[in-house]
Amino acid sequence: MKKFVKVVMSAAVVAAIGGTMAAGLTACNGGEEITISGSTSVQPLMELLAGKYEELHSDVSITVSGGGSGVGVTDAQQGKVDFGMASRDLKDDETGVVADKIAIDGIALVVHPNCTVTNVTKAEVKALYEDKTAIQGVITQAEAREDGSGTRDAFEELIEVTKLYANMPEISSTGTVKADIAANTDGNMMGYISLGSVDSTVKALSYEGVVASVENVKNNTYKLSRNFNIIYKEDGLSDAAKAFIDFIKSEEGQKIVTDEGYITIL
Amino acid sequence: MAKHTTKERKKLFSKDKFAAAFTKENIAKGVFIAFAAFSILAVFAIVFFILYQSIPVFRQTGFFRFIFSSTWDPDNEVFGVLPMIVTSIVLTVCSVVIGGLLAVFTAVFIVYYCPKWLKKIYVQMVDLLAGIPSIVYGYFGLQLLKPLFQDWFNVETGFGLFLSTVVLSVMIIPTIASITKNSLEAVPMQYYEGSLALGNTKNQTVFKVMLPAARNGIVAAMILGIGRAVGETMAVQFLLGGSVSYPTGLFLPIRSLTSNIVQEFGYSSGLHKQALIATGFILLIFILIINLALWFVKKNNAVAGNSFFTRKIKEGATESKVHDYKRTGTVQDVLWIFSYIVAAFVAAALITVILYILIKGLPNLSAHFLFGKSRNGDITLAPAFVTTGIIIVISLAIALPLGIGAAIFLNEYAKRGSRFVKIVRLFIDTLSGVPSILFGLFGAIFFGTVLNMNYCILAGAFTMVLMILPTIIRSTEQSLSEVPDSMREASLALGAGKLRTIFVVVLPQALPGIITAIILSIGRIVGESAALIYTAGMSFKMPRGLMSQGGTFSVLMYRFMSEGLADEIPLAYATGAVLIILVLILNIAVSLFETHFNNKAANKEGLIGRLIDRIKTKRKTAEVTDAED
Repeated sequence: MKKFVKVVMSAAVVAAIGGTMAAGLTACNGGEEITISGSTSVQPLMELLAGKYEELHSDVSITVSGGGSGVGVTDAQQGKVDFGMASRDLKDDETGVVADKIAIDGIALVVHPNCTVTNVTKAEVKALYEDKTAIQGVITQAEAREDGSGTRDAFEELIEVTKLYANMPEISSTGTVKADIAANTDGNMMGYISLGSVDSTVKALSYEGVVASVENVKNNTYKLSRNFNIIYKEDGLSDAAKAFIDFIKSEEGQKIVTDEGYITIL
Repeated sequence: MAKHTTKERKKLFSKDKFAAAFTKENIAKGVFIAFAAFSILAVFAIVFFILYQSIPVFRQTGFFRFIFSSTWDPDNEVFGVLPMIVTSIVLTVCSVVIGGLLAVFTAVFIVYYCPKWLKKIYVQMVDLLAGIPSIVYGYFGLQLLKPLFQDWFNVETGFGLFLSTVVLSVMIIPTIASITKNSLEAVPMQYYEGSLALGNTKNQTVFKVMLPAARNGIVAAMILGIGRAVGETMAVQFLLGGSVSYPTGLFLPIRSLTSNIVQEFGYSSGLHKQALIATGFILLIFILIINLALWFVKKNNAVAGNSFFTRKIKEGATESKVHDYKRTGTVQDVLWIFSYIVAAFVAAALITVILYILIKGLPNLSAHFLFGKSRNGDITLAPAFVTTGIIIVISLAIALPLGIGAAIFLNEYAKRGSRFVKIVRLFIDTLSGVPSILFGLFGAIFFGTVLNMNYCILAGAFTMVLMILPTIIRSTEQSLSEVPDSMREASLALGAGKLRTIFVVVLPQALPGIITAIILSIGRIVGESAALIYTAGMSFKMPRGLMSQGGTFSVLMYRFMSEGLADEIPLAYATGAVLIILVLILNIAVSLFETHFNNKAANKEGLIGRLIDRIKTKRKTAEVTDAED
């Protein structure tokens, strides 16, 4: 009996703590909130921008969630978020919102550093991904991203890939693609990742004779690139969101873009 | 005759405070019935809402085209899930065959061969294997096993059937082993002794008498294992490779029903999203079929002993059979050795998983990562502590009264074996067999869309209520049924009403079961990811209230593992380490608690036990005299 009372008491205490915790959390709901959703390709960059901005303006809280470019556009259209993110330009049927470019991203075709191939053409890449045709007799297999990924959308659009050969792995994260390529010491597998994510564990191939680099994307000679846009209703922006967008486009914001390996719009 | 007298006694008793007692007691009974019926409602709601959201796709594609077509092309709104169905079935069969075999030998080892000093620890270890979150298994497979297999077998990619089967087999071992163990222990001891008396060796007895006698329990365990394997999501999602194709090889990327949902749900919208929910509906059909199968197996359990017995007698009839028996002795000796090997393997698997995650994760843990302020670009686990805590408190606050109420009805009010009770049990079992991804889909549809709550902690907590409810009901009911009837009778005899008896006398006795259920539920919530991602969201921010998003530890680990957060692999390990530590603590808490209470109960045995026995004998004599009247 005593024990029962004890347990009831402790349960009550736990509940009370939980309650106050929740109440306290609700109470401290001050400051301004900015919500953003959309492309998971833009998301890491947006999170860093948001982090820097929050550091400068401690009263602002920014929530960045994923969902993909399509979700970014529809959320912006429905006013569910302050603005959406898309790693592509607006389609014709996506009306009522505008796209505002904040950065440019290159897509790198990556292989293991042991791989002897240095340059590929569009036709070679297309044949590899569609029919498993070996590139220069060396690269015999490829990895794709999952359906819905912004990187995959852009890659398939730029290379004009319409189908994938049977049994191609579809990986749901950049990190895993990179790890897979880095582990492929035979150097016979190709994948694609954002140029900003390339590091020494993988080798980025030249495309149509042009080295994959920030400069070449900027001067428009490296053709595998796409725009990072934010999507919003022209007259629907809150002051807080407007200020944040101004920050993104400012020199300070664009410095983060450059530091992360993306290409600035300035 | 006896019945009549009790009825009369009741009448006499309630005459005094007829009006007051009648209403209060009846209201309470009504409430308990409602709580018990809640499980039925929950199952129907899950089926209804998932089906409802799937209908547009079935309309567009046609139900049978959806099932039997092999093309999955969301861009062009072509949906066919046959490759995923086949993959799910093949993967499940492989895992249940391998995992089931390992589990049965593990159970045999625990029950018959395990040295006494090791037994408790070993059972504890198998429990721990069940407690490790599936996301941790997935990460372990992805980071350690996949590169290993690529090396060993020299294959293009480590993804696919083989990798997933290995991990999934280990994951379902505890489910199958614990039920097999229970049914082995339930085989009457006479079988064992009789077999030994006939001159069989211990190994022959174990493998040719005891194991076949526990056959039905093992079948039930396998079916539960199938349910677990079909529904497993987070672990296989990272190991299958994601390609929509048939599992024609061991190392080819494939996609199961569950991984199809997780892989694309976050990105999808419109008809694509509904097609994924329809995939969930197909999964739900599988689960319901599996549950019905389980129900039938359990229903037939009663005759098992007899049919076994008659068969055995026939077999021993001829002399040649006896010779056969002797010859098979060597086989059983091999199996005996095999059970040791399996037991060692299971222990090794557990230790490898735990040590790997801890070694990789602990060095990345820092005070800042645990308790620092979490913000964009510098994620910490502090919000996960708060979010996980809030979800645990809220879901327990709702599920405990519901579950205990339902258990009270089932054990205290309902006539044992009545149809309503049977149905309620069936639905509770069904609810406990629903995979977490389907809870996630239901939560996203019902709380997120229908109630328009979007992603929020409250929606996550509500979804968790449904998940932990079966555990609470079963555990409470079990301990209620262990409370001796004499205590109820004594309380009633002293003039207490039924309600009072339940709350003051019976329930306190059932406390150990309830507390065990609470700890198990906490473990379930801590380890859950699939159901929370689509309800509570994946935010790493300190929640600002119940209506804001929040990510628990497992969800954050999933976040660290997925898209774009390449520098966060160390953080994923660190979160994994935190999860493992939490699971360890909870497991130790359960076992300490159970030992504590068992000791107490054992002490009571001396005094009260004897009293109870005396009361029981007295009652029996009274009944006899009653009947004679």
